[in-house]
Amino acid sequence: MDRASNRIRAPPSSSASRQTTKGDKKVNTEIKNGQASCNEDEVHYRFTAYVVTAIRRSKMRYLVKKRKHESLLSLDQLLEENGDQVQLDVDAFADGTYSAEFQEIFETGVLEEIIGNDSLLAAVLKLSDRERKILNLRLLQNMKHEEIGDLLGIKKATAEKCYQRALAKLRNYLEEGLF
Amino acid sequence: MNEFKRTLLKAQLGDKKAAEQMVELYKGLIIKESIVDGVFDEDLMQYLYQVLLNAIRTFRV
Repeated sequence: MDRASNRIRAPPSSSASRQTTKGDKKVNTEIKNGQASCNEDEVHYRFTAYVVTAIRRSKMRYLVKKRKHESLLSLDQLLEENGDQVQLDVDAFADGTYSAEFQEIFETGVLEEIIGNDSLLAAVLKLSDRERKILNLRLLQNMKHEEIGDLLGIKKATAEKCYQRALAKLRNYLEEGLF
Repeated sequence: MNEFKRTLLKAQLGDKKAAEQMVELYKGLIIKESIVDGVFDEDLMQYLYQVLLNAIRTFRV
């Protein structure tokens, strides 16, 4: 395509409208052509505006997503690195005889102790007790939602929802801290 | 119908050559927008090309 023809042209000059007073057929034709050209140019203007807006918005979305990805330390990754420090005697739990270690995990916030990242720790501390307990049990002990539900006296679905909500809250807190 | 509108309509109808012409027309904008903090981001450029092609498809003439 010829580049010059693609260039956004200025809208037809106002001289065309001034000529309407003459009432000449030829002039009227020119005016009509001018209007047609204006309408066609309008497509070019509108499309350019559409593309520019779409590109800028997409760029913003891309950058926000990229920054989140780079900055947010994955909770799973963090716990993979530190989570094996604590072992739970699941069998003892199943038998109803909780180990002392488990009691400690359950009562105190072991999750908070092993988190080295300050912003993540601050975010965890903002969670409710129940959410912290559920995170402890789920992430450190790899317990099933059903087991967590039994332990806390809530339904499996409630435990699962509470866990998802806690993770979402953590993400929100971290994002707020970053941006 | 002017050249631009014709090319845009052809591109919307699946004419590859017309789509290439449209992409060529907005290449400069895409390259400019692909530079973030003075660094050229190739992934962003690819993404913006997708956005442009999508815009060509969805624009209502």
